Amino acid sequence: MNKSIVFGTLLLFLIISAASLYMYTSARFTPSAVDISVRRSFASLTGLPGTAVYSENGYERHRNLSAPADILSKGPFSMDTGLASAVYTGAR
Amino acid sequence: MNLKLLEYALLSVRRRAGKHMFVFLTFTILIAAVLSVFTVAEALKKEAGYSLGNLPDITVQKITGGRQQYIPAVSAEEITLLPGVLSAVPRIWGLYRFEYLNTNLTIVGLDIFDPFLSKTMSDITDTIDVKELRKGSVMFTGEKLNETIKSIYGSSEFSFQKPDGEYITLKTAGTFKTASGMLSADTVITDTETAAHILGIPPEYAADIAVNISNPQEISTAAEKISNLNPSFKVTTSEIIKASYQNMFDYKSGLFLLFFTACILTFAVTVFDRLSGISGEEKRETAILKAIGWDTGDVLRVRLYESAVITLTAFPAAVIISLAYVYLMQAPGLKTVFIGHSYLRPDFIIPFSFDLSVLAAVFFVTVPVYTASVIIPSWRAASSDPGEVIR
Repeated sequence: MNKSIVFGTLLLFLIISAASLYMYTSARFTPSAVDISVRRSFASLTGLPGTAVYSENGYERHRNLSAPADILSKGPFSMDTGLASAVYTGAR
Repeated sequence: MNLKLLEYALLSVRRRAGKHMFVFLTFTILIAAVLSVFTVAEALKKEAGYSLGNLPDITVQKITGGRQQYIPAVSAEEITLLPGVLSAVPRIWGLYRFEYLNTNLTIVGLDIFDPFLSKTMSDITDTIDVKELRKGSVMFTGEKLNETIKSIYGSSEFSFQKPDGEYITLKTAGTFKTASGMLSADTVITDTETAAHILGIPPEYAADIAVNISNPQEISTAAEKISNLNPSFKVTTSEIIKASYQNMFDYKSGLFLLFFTACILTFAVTVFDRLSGISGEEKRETAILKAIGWDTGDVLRVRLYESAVITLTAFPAAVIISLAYVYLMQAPGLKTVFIGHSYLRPDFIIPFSFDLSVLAAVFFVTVPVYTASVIIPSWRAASSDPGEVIR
C-alpha cells in the first residue's frame, strides 16, 4: 500500500504542478484587453494583413496584397503549390 | 481499481527501472517536443489573427501582364456607385527596400483630413500630434525601427530615396505602442502625399482600393460586380486573405506534422521492439504467477497498470516541460526556427496559446500504441502453459 501512496502523491504533485504552471503562464502571457485593442486599432488603421515577422521577402509581408502576381499568394488553394496538388497529379 | 495489483505493478516497474525509465523519458520528450512546436505555431497564428480581423471587406488591385500596376483613384468613385458598397477608399502604401538592413519597410500614407484619424492614432501611439502630420515631413514608426534609425544615424530622421534618386527626409514624430510591435515594427505612417512621393505613385493613382460592404453576406456578390467593372481588376476579399494565412500556417504546421508522424512511428517501432521481445525473466514471472493461482486477466491488469504508471506520469511531466520551455524560457532555438532572423524584428513575447486538443490528440495517438505493445506480448506469455515455461 505504501508504494501506491507514494505513486499517488507523485502523480498528484505532477498534475497540480502542471495545472499551476498552466494557470500562471496563462495569466502572465495572455495579452491584456488593452494590448489587443491597440493591435486591432493599428490593424484597422493600416488595413494590411500579417505580422512584421517576415519583412525580408516582399511576398511574405502583407501576403496576397504586396505581391498579388506571386505564385505563393495567388490563391489559398493553389493547385501549383497547395498540398492538395498530389490529388490532381494522381488524377492525370 | 485493485490496489494490491497496482502495488505489485509499481514493484514491477521498480524492478525493471532501466527499461521503464527509457520508455518514460522517450515518451516525455516526444510529447513535450510536439506540444512546444504546436504551441509556438499557434501563438504566431494568434498574432497574425489580430490583423486579419480588421481588414477591409474587399481590396481591389490592378494587374496587367501579370504585374501589379497603380490603380486610378477615380475607380473608387465607380466602385462606390455599385449597390451595397459602403465605402471605397484609394490607399497609398507599399514596401520600401531598406538595403542597409536587407529588409522592407511598409510605408503607409494616411489621409490627414480623416476626422477619425486623431482618435485612432491616439489609441496606437504614446505621443500624437496630428498637426505635426499635417505639416508634412514627419512620420510615425514602429519602436524597433526608430531605435534602429537612431543607432545607425544618431538622430530620429530618416532619408528616403525616391524612385527618381532624390531624397525626402522625415523626422520621427512618434512611435507606436509596444503592444502593437508584432504588427508595426517595420511600418512607417506618414501623410498620403509624402508616402506617394517615396513610393513613386503618380498623382491621381493609388496602390489599391479598400472597399467596405454594408451587408457582409453580399461581399461575394459585390466582389463579382467590381471585377466585372474592369478585366484588369484583381479583387481580393478578406476571406481569401484569411484562407491564405490559414493555408500558410497549415502548410508550416503540416511540415512539423510530418516530422511528428516520423517521431511517432520511430517511437512505436522502438517501444514495440523493446517490449515485444518479452524477456525470459518476465515469462518465468508470468508463469509463476499463473502457477500460484493468478488468472490471465490479473496478469494483464498488472501490465496495464504498469503502462498506466508510465503514461500518466509522462503526460503531466511533458506539459510542465513544454510550458516552462515555451513561456518561461521563451522557446530558445525553436522560436528562431519559426521566425528566423531580422534586424527589425520586435522583442516578441510568445502570447499564451495552449491547445488542449493537441494534447488529447497526442494522448490518443501514443498511449494505445504503448499499451498495445505491453499487453499483446504479455497476453501471449500468459496464454502459454506455465509448467512448460517454468521447466
